[in-house]
Amino acid sequence: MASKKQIQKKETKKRVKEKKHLLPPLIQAERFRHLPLYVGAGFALICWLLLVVFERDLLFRVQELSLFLYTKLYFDQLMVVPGGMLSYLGSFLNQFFYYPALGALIMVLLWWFLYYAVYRTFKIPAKWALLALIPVLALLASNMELGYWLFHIKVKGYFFYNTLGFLFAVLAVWGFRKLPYIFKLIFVPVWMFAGYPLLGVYALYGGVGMIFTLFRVDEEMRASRKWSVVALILLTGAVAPLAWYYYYNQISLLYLYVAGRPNFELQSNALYLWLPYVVLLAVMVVYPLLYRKDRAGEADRPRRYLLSQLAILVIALFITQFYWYRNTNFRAEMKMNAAMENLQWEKVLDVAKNTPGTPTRLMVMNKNLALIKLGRLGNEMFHYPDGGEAPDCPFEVHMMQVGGKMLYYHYAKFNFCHRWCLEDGVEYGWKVDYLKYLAKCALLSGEYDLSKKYLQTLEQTLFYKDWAQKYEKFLGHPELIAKEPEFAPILQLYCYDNQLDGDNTLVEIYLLNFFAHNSNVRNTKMYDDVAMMAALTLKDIETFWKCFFRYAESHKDEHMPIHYQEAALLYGTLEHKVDISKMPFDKAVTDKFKAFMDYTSQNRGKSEEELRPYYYPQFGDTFYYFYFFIRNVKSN
Amino acid sequence: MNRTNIYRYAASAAGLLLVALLCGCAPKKPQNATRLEAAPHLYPDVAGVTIPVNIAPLTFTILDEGSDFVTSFTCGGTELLAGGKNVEPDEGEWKTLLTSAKGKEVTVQVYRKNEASWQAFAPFTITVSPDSIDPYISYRLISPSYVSYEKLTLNQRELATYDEKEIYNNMLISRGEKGQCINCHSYKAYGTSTMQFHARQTLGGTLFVIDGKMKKVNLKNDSTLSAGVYPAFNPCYNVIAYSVNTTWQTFHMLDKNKVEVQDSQSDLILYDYDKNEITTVRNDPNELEVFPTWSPDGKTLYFCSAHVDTQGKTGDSLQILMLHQYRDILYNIYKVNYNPQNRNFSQYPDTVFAASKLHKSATFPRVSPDGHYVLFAMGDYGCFHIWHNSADLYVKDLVNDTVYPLAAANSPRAESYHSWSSNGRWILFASRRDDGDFSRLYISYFDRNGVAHKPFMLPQQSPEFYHYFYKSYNVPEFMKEPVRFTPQEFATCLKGEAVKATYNPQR
Repeated sequence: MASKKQIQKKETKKRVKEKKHLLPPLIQAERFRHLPLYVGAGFALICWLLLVVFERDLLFRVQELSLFLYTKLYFDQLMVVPGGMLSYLGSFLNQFFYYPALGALIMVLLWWFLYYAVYRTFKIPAKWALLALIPVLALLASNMELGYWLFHIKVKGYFFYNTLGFLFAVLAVWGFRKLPYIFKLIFVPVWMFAGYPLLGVYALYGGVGMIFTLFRVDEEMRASRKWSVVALILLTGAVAPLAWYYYYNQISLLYLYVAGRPNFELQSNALYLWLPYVVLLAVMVVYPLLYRKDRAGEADRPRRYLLSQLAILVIALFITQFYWYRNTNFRAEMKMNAAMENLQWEKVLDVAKNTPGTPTRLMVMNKNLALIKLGRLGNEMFHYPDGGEAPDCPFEVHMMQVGGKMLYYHYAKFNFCHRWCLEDGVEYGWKVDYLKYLAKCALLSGEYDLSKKYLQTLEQTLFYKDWAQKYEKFLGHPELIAKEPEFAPILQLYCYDNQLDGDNTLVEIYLLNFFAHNSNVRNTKMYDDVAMMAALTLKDIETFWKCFFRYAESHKDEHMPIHYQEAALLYGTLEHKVDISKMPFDKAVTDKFKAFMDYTSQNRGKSEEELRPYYYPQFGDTFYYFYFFIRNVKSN
Repeated sequence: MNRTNIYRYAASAAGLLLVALLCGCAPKKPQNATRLEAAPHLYPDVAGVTIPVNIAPLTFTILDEGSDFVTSFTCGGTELLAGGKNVEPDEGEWKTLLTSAKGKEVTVQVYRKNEASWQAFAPFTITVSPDSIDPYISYRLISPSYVSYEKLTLNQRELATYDEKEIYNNMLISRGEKGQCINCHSYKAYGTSTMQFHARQTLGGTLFVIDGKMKKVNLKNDSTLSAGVYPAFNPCYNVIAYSVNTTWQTFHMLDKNKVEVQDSQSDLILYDYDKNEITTVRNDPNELEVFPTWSPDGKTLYFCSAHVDTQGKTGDSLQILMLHQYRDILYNIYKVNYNPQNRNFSQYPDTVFAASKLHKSATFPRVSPDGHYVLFAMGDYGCFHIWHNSADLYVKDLVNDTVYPLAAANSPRAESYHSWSSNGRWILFASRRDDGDFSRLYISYFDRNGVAHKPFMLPQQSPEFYHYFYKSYNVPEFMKEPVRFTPQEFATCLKGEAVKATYNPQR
């Protein structure tokens, strides 16, 4: 006689067999059972690889343009607006982009979790499981669409802000779905009143999801009860933000129900930026309608199932790739920035040389700075692509915000660098990037107390503590500063007199005019070199000659660089105001000039546009080409 | 043993444990500590300061190295102990200590543990003045930027505690390019039932509270340079004097002063808030009249003025002229008599202090509540001394006709935006002495001999607060009571239409 235990075991086996038999064929196959999860993991892996391989510099810049401090004051200051907790957590996670691979890993893991949470919360049918990827793709798009918005976005911890907010909203819907009627009545006001200050608009996103979930999921619930819960959600969703309005002094009534949204413009050429947020909201409306009690659904044809999954993936990726900002100049600027941070001037030149198309003015300025640092300006300034491609962005991008502060620092305009770090810090929030330049500028201008303040703040970060300690050793030690390889060349340009001035946010124009038109007896050789760069770029002949003779005087026993010779030859020939007959031009320079003039006489009557492709291969590395063919360049 | 007894025993045990834990955490005064000759290094520096009896605990960080610290505050038989590198005395014990130390000195002894032994730094004292201080102050918090501003707040702080509340926050109405600048809060006779502040740009106007009723007024009209700027409530009559200015700023390329804020034109007006009427007080085109302030009896208007030969220039050409001679623009302090019956002023001003004769510039005069002194900031040139490292606080003794610096209150960096407490015994001012970028509030005791004592920094709950706080304190004012309107109420008023003030050309 079989024992009681054996009978129980047999019955269990029988039940399992019966249950399996009830399931559709696909789900019976164990290898397909967790397919959605694996696909999510695969997607996360692909995202991670793409981010790490192609957006390494961007991710690093993201954390430079963020700040997380382990202080109570920092926490308090973020909690003064609805959604402050998301900013706090987002900024905390943002800092891990210091190691782009690590930051990206955290991000994709969150997306993977979100994907699974969406799949489980809305019980999406198996054959449509990949629909759960749509919100993830929207979040991916919301980050990767930024481009130059990166410098304008005011939401702190933006790269994680929306992911965390939406994740919490989805989890709230899941919790709500699981609760019985009475507890739903308790949960809703708690969520709205406690969620709104922490999550801002995402608390309301959760409310939307709850409403639609209610109708699809709780089929057994009486209609009157459903409507009472809906009324409660609507009421608390309306009242909670209003109630908090009287607590927070920092949000206007106008933005009360969209607290935490990004500060994108509401103009026609920037509307696309809002689409990911619309998609996220649509998910909360539509996905509850996909709810199936039995998630296995009718996924009984493996091929059709796989194809449908693939189709969803391809379509979603196709749409998302439009949102992935891939402007080559933007990426080049990011690369240059990273190289300049590390004083890798050759790398800056590599990027300048190898970036196809017309560069932005910032790229040209960076290239010139690298050449100055390497002492090769006069011989190589025009060996690189030149021009003034406008940044690809729906709004006007100022060089000041993207790389101007670094330029001011390296050109020893410490007060101006300091000013713009403060201005942008006030407008867009304090960032590691600004604090670093504030600390360094104060250090080089001898304001050690001030430098210490900024270094103290950086010491409170996770990844810039060592950086701060490195620079702290210079406080009060001008002799060490003078010897430091980073500072020494900068201090060579710190040889001008004080005057009242302003740049009107035009970094390049200001720097060019300043160096071209301001000289004194204390000017160094490097200063005169920079003045030559400015004079050549301005194409002002009178200014050129002033700078040229000053340069010749300060570089008496040195060979006159090729581009300076080219300019002297061209201007001397064009205007005959300066006698150049006795100037010892290099033969190569005179030969090339003659070739240029001969070629020009052969091509009279043709337009500049027609001639440009013919001239560039022969004369693209000369001042002549720059003078005649690089025109109407706009610098912001 | 019944169940009730078990609960009692458990509760007692828990209580004892709690007491034991608390006792364990409480700092103990080290015995047999080695005496050091050196004084401890503290931030903020509280050694030798004079404080009022009704001030929140002075917190500070001990900057010296050590593995543990104990600080004792003693006066007579009362002792307060605080442990750790950050010295944060208990608020209740502090209050008890100050009450017993009123008019006396508190001795502060800092002990540090170095390896296994304790050392005692040279003790220092904190003097507790018998003169109390007004219970509240208010100020604007502004980031030290020049053109940009995002968030600006007017805040009020209770001095006996660390409680700080916002009076108004510009983000309630605006942000970004549609931003709103708020400035120049001012109160009538230290009360808040009659007060004002300006809002500029978006939904701009001057917000008045008159006898507890709020209204928004548009003070701009075609006959004056601008809407009201620097305000001065007459303490006795229902008028308020303003400067009206054309102001702009430029930037130093090298100088540590960093920014110059200049007026190219500047006049004085009077606003009668009962009649909603503006009249001109002074508008000489070759004089830059600014910073009005009243005597305590409301019958004398003090102001600053710099003489500039504008050569008939206006607009940009005038600005360029002033740009070139910015170091030669020197302000003197003057006064005119005011007749409250006809609201007329004497025609010719009397010179109170001719700073220009010393090739200096005196600004921001504030008359002491007893009318004995005029407190002002004096720097090398110009009017915006809060950005001038040369700016120091001075007083003119109106009785003895002497002028002298408040040496103990000053620092090598800028001091400005000063105000008197209602009893005239305390001076509140902003100083950039900490780092040059961020202005902080300091309070200095002004004794009956007209001497300012070493000031203390506005105390915060955490002594590290100022390290990480990236805002400047601006235009501090004493108040006898808090502002009772909420920021949202002010916002609602500012969203409404402004009442336009009328201009009366008759004087």
